[in-house]
Amino acid sequence: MRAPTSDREIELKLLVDPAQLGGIADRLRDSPTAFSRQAARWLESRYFDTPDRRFARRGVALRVRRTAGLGAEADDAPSFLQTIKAGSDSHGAHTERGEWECAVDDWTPRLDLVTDKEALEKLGLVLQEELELVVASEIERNVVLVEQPVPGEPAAIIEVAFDSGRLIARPTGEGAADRVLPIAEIELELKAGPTRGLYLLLGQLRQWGRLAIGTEDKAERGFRLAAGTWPSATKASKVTLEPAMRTGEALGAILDNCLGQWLRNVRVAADGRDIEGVHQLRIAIRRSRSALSIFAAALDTAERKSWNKRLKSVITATGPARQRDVFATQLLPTIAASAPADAAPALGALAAGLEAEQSAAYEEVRRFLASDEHADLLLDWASWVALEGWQEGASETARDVLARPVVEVARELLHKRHKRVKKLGKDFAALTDAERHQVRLALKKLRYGVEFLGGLFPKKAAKRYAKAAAALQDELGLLNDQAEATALLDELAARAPAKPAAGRLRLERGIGFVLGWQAEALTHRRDAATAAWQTFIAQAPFWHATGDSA
Amino acid sequence: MTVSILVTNTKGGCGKTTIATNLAAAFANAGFATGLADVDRQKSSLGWLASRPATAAPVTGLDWRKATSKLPAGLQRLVIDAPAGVRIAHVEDLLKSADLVIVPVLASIFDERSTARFLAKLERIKPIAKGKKNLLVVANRQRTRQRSAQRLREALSELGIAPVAELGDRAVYTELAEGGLGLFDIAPGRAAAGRADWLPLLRAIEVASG
Repeated sequence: MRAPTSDREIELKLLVDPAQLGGIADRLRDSPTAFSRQAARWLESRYFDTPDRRFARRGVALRVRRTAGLGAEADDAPSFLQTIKAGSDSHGAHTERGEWECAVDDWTPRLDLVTDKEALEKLGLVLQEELELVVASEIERNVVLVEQPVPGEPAAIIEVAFDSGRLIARPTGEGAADRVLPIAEIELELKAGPTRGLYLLLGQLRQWGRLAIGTEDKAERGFRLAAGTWPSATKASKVTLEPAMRTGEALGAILDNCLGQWLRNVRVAADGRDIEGVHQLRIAIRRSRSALSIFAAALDTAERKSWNKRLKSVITATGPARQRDVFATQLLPTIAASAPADAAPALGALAAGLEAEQSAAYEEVRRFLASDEHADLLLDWASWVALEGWQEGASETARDVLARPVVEVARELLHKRHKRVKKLGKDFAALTDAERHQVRLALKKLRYGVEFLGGLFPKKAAKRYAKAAAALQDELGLLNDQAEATALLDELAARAPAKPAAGRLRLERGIGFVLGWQAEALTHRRDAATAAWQTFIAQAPFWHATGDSA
Repeated sequence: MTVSILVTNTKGGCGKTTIATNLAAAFANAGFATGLADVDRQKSSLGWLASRPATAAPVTGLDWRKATSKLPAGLQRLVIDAPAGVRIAHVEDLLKSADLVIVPVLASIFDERSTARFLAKLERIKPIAKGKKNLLVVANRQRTRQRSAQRLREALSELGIAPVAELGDRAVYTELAEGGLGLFDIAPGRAAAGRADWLPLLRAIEVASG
C-alpha cells in the first residue's frame, strides 16, 4: 500500500451517532497514542461547479474553506483555502485521491492559481464566470493527532477529525428553499506511515462507540442534495494483477476490488430507484464469496466458512427484492410483449400484486443496510481485508500458497475449477434441473476466477474463454430465473387475498399464463443452454497457453 | 495525454483560423500546455503565433504543412487548423491525430451548399459515423438578428444538425488577431459578450473530450 505524498490524500471516513461523537473524541484525547490536540475550529466550506455540473460528472470537487477559531479565539483572522479533490481511486473502505490546495483571499475560487497539470486535467477547461455555488457546509471540527503503532512497521501518523455540523444545498430554480442535512462524522487522514494504521486505529475507536463506514463524501452528498437526484449503480472496476505478485497480495487486491463495488452500491441499493443497485451489491458479495472459495487453499477453513456465512446475510436480505426486480423488469415485459391482448388484465393484476410485495422487499433491504449487523460486517470485513487477516494464524501450507507467485497458483486454481465444471456438466443435455443448477454454481466460481485471474495470461485466449463461459452462465441464469419465478408465483398465490373473487381470478389467470409461457419456453431454453455448453467445452484452457501475457 | 481538436471546413473564409487561434488561447489561459498545429499553406495560424507577445499565455506552434510531427512532451491540448480546399482523405488522415472535429459554417447560401456536401462526407468517416469522435458544428460570424442567421439554422436543421454554438460577428476578433491575441487573452470584463458566445462551444468540447 502507498504512503501518502503531498498531492495525495488517504482517508477513512466514519459515520457516527451525533450523541457519541464527543465521547469518542474525549476517549481518544486521553489515550496514550494521542500526541497533540488542537483547539476546536469553525469551518465553513463552499463547493462550486459549472451550471452543467461537469465537476460532479468527472468526480472532482472544487472547494473554498474558511477556517476560524471558536469561542475566545473566534476573533483570530480567518484563513481561506482552496482545494481541488479528484475522484477516489477504487479502493476498499478508505479513499486515496489527488488533492491540491492553495491559500486564497476570500470566497472567490481562483482558477488561475491551479497550475498542476493533473489538477488541470481533472477540472478541464472552465471559465471563471461559469462557477456557481452549489452547496455549503458549516462544521465544528476537533482534531486529535495520533501516533498509531503498526507491528513490524513504522508508526502511522493519523489526523483524526471529529466533525459535527450541517450541509446546506441550494437547489437550482428561483425561490427554492435550502435543503439541510446534518453531519456527524470522524475522518481519519493518514499523514505518514502505512495505511494499515488507519484500520488499527479504527479497531480502537469501535470500542468506544458505534461506527459505520461512510460511503460518500460531503461534496457528493451535497451535490445530490442540491440536484435532488438519486445515486446510480456502478459495476466492479477491473482487477489488475501482476504475474510476479505473491498470491497473498493478489488476494488482497481482489477482495479490495470487491469491497469497493460493495461500498459504492450500498446507498444505491438502499435508495432503490436504480434497481441495479441491489443487483451490483449482490454481485459484489458473490464475487467476494467466490474469491474466498477459489483461494480456499490459502485460507483457514473455519475462518473462511465464518466469513462466507456472514457475507451470505447480504444475499439473503436482498434476495426477495432482486427476485421481484428480475421478474418485473425482465420476464414479465417479455411475456407481455408476446401475449394476446385479452391476457392484459390478468398480467396487469399480476404486475400489481408484485408491486405491492416489491415495496416490502425493499423495506427489508433498507432495514438490513441500516442495521448494526451490516455496519459491523462491513467494518469487520474491510479491516480484515486491509490488515490481511488471512496472514494471521495461517497454516504452513496456506502460508506457502500465499507466498507463491500468483501466476503459478492461478494456473492450478483455474484448472481445478475448469475440471469441476467439466465433470458436473458431462452429458449436459441429459442433466436434470438440479444437476444443471450444480453446473451453474460451479461455473459461477470459474467465471469469477477468470475475471480475477485472466489478466495474468495471454489476452486473446482468456477473452475468448471468458466470453464462452459468460454466454453459458447467461443461459443457465435464464433457466434459473424461470425456476425462481415459479417459486415466486407460488408465494404470490399463497399470499394473495381470496376476495374479491374477480380480482383473485384475474391474478390466478395471470399466474397460469406465465407458467404456461414458461413451460413453452423451457424446451427452447434447454436447447440454447446445451448449445452454449458445447461452445464452452470446445474452448482450450487459456492458462496453459505460453506466450507473452502483456 | 493530449486532447486534440481538428478545426476544418473545405470552404475558405469561414473562420477556421479565428476559431483555432481563439480556442488555443482559451486553453493556454486556463493553464494547459497548449499547441497549435498549422496545416494551411497560408500559415495564418503560425502567423498569428509569430505576432503573439511574449507576455501572453504560451502556445507552442507546430508546422504541419508538409507532414504531421511528433507532439512535444507533456502537451495537454492541441488545436489543428486544417486548410481550405482540404480533401476528405486528408481530413480522415488528420482525424487520426484528433479527438473531435469542429466545423465552422457561415450564413451565406454558397457556404451552406458546399458545407452540406462536406458535412455529409465527414459524417461517413468511420470514427464519426460510429460516434467515437464528435463532430461539432459552429455557426460563425452570426448576425443573430438578421434573416440569414435564421436561414442558416433552418438549413442545418434540415441536415439534422444543431450548431453547438453561434459566435457573433465581432470586430474584436480582428483587432486582437493583429496582435497575436484572442478573446481569452484579455480581461474577462472587456470580452464578456464574446466569452458568453464561446461558452456553449467550450462546454461541448469538455463534454466530448472528458
